[in-house]
Amino acid sequence: MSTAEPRYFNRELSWLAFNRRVLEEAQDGSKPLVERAKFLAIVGSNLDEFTMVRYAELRAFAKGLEQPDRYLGDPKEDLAAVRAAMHALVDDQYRCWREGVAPALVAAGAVVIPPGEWTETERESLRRFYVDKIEPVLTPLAVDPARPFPLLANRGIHVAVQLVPISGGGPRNALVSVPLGNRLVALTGASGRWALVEDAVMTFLETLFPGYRVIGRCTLRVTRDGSLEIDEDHATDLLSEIEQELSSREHGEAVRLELTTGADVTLTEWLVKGLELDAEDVVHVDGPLDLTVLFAFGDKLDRADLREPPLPVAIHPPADEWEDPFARIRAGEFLLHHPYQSFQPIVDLVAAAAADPRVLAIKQTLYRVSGDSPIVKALIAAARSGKQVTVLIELKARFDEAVNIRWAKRLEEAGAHVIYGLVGYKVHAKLLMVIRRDQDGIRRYIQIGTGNYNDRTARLYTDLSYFTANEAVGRDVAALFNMLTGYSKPPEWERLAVAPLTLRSSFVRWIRREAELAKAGKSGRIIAKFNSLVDQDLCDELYAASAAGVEIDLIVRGMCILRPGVPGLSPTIRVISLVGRFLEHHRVYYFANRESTTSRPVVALASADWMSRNLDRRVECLVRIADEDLQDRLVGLLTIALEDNVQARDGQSDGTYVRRQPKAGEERRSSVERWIAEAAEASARPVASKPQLAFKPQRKKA
Amino acid sequence: MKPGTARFRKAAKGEPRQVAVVDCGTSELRAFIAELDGAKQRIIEDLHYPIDLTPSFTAEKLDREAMDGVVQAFSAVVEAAQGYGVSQLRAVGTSALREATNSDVLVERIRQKVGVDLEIIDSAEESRLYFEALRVLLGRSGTDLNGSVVMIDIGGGSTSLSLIRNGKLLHSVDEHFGTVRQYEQFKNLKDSTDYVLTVDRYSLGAAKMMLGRQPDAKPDHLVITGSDVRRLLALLQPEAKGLIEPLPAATVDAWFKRMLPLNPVARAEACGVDEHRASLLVPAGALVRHLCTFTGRAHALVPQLTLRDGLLADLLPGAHGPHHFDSSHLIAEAQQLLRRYGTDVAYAENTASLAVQIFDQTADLHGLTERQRTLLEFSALVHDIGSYLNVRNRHKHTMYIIQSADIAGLTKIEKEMVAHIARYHRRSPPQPHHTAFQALPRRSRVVVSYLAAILRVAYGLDVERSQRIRKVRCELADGRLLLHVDRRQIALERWSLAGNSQMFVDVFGMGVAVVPRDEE
Repeated sequence: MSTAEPRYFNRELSWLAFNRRVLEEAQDGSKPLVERAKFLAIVGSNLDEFTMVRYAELRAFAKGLEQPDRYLGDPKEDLAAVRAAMHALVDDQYRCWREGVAPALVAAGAVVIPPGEWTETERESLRRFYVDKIEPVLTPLAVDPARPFPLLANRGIHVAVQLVPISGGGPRNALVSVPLGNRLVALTGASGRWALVEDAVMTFLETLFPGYRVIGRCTLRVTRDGSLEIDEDHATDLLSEIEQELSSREHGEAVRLELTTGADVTLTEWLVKGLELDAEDVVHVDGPLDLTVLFAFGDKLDRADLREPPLPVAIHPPADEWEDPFARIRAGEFLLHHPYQSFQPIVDLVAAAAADPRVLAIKQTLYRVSGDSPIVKALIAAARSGKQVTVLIELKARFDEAVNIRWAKRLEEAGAHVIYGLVGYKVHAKLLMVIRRDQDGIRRYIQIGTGNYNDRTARLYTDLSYFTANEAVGRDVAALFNMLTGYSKPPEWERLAVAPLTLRSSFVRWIRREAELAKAGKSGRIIAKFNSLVDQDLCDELYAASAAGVEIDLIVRGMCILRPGVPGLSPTIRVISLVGRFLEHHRVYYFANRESTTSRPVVALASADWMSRNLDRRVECLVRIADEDLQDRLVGLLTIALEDNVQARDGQSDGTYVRRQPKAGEERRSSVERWIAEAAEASARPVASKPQLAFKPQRKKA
Repeated sequence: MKPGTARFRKAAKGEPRQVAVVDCGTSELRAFIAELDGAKQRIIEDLHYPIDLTPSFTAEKLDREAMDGVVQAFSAVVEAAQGYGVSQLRAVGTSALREATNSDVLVERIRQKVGVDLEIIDSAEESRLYFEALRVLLGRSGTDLNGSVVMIDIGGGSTSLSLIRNGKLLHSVDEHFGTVRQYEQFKNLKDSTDYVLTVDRYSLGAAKMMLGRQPDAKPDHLVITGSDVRRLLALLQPEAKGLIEPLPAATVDAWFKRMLPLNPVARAEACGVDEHRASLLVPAGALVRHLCTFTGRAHALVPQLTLRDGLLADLLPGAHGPHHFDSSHLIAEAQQLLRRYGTDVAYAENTASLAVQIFDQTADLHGLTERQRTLLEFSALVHDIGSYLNVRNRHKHTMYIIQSADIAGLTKIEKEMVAHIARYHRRSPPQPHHTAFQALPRRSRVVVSYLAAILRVAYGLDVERSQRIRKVRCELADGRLLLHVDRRQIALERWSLAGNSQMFVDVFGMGVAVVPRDEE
């Protein structure tokens, strides 16, 4: 490789490249319109999180506000590159809105009408709406040299105005925060016409400033640094500490100002100064601020023809087998592939455990939970019924802290033993263990997932879930819970690899073994599917394996700092990214281990990506799947991803991605479509029954 | 966990039951949660919690931090145990807790906080538990150790030695040698190469001392247990995965010589463990090599067993249970004391025989148990060993010799009881200012008083030390205990009992009279 080319891609630029791939889905005219609008909203929501975390951190490094522990590049140069890429991405996002999605929505009879195009009737109805519903909750904030610049809510929309007193005198500025909540107001008259609340505020706000004339106005949106700073070592009560920090997140330093194109220059300069921003932190958008409104817009459109057809979700195990979940798991371990197979069995398992008198204890980790979680409700019921319920709820799960705090309190009230994560580590492992006193003794029923116990996201994220009553897995999972809840020392793991203890070293060992085999003339083979690859040490291991001749296929949805296909560095590494209808979230790892005809591959599911934070600063769990049928199924799922020629993008050695297209005469191979078929087929397969021989002694009746 | 909330559920009849056993060691609290189904056992959880009870060795008491660590570990164990529906939990503490002067405080805190009674066992009980564990393990592995076996457990705080002959535990001694203790003792040298040599020299003395205190200098087998010894085996014989494996003395010697010139970092690297763990392997290795040398064994046998295996073995059907040694074992221990202190064996045995005869014939009067009978017999056998030091105050010398001796098979309380029964065979009966006696639990004080009163009567029957009276028939008549003997001339005995039966009067509310053969 050229020495001028870096060994790794910049992770932030790689992340922006991923969000560009999401944008491609919105740009794809063959997709149903509501789905395209949702992808535009996802791009916006992704950018918000990126700005609050990654951009805020890089900006702080570049400005010397924070010292990075380990940063190889030049933060200033990287910040400039990231800003340029962000601005270009936002321009393309809004272009897609203006030139693609918005006109198509108009054609479909659904449109957001800007003030200039309101009819007189619509304007009058909006004015009445404003006077009745909006104005009473507005508080104009006058700003003058005697008062500090007001604190504007993070990710809220606000209106800045420039005023002059009618009685004479110099101009002054004020700010009005647009109420949070529903931004779309249905216009009376023709259906499918909507206005934005902030447009109504902009139009009618004169009434807020009697005695003044409004000479300039613009809408704006502020994004703040969203990282929490918690001193865990000295926090006596992590729960209240995080509650306090959550409120201060709304007060973090401003890092981005979004304005609509054509905003008043004087007001812009005043806002940049008041928010202590650089001019480069300002993003001008040619369209409505905050396109996440399109989530709501899509929901309001009652048009099935503009959406993807509903996903045919396979129900597995069948109801008659799942009537007694414990008997079904005892009969044989199995996998579920979400969302193609329903998430409901996980909820059912917890609910059955709560109601079963033979169940002694339920232990579970919770990272991101839905606001109305049936799983947590089942856990609460179990705790109320006197079972030992231990829940490790990660209060530090970014952006889900508030929901988790609420659940943690309710679980505690019900008598569950709640642990709020660990000092210094986030607990990201997805584990559920039910301890049951079966007739023949204690048995541990285990479910291990790649995704969160969140019934809502389980419909949108692709994940895998493994159910087993295997003794070794149960022992390992129990030991991990003991470590998490009670300071116990780690055991010798049999089927699990656990971060931050053994996960990294296990990956390194498995990669190196493939390299050794390749060197010995046996073919080395690695296939891995996960979300992000940003760990430089693992990249180096993969580069070394590639140099040894190992064939490596990585299916990485998001950030990937590894440069694929570079002669002399990574000649045998291929990277693809799948972006489509569902958020690709599986973490599946395959190492062929073709040492001999009898050696078995390592096939594993994990909660961890190949990121330093996953491997070193989180508690993550990988489970090796030993059952050959399940191994085959997982390899089959990976193969479907590799063969995709619809959603897949091939990562190039320059960091760009090229979307695959079916070649002339080639059949269309969409992983979503093939996974739907695979799930249906797997669900219809009978239980590979492994009957357990049990003698029933005849006893004399008492 | 709320205070005192350890409640354990019972398994349904006919189904396997879940139990937990806990060993609170010097640097680790270890627990098994296990399932027992008939004679079968299955370990469900093998829990290890780091604790630090070394202040017990350095300051002779546990500080707050050390106690907090133990309470926290107990809470975690109890919580795990409750998650498995455990119906029975036995927790024991060993040398570090034996030595801490304030361990009662910890025991009480654990009882209050998690509802568990932590029992601080003496070294004899510890040896018995290792013996039970070994018995089960040998049975399971199909190994037969014929002849005599010296079994040594090298712990963090103490090392115990037991002699087993023909499958019976005969004798045990305890030495203040432990891997953690030696590290604490010599840690100022730990960064120099002197550490290994100094520990080795100290170990030499400890090995000599322990082997010198037991009767079989050249046993047929040497069995060594302890976590650091198991680690040493895993390090030096990585292929040895069996339940009981030989660790060749030559291999340990060669390893030890490699360690001699190394600094702690190089030592840790050579052992593939952290520096602290490597520092603990040194005393374990040193003791193993010296024990092999002195016993003349080419290898030590290292079984994969822990104290917890012994605790579990006690819970299996047919097990004898805690502190159980049959009375013949205890009597053998007493006879060993007799020999060691050059006591008149015939006299001692006759006094013991008379005491037991009176005990058996006055059962309606005292209502005591078979075990208490054994305690009386033991006390009667050893009541005179104090005269080895000085005839004057011999009863007091007897008491502290018993208190200081290694006696396998007696609980801590029982040992105190035996010491006091023997002590009160003459001179003053229990007094309010006898603090050691008053420190005994109330029920134990009562039993000591009953048995000492009986022993005094037996003692009074042979002041001549000629075993003239060998048989006695007891009769309760006219509110008195009449002792019918087969001798006519009993003036001396009458005189002697006049002085030695007051305690009997005080305790049982009746006088004692000797009745000669003529009067029958």
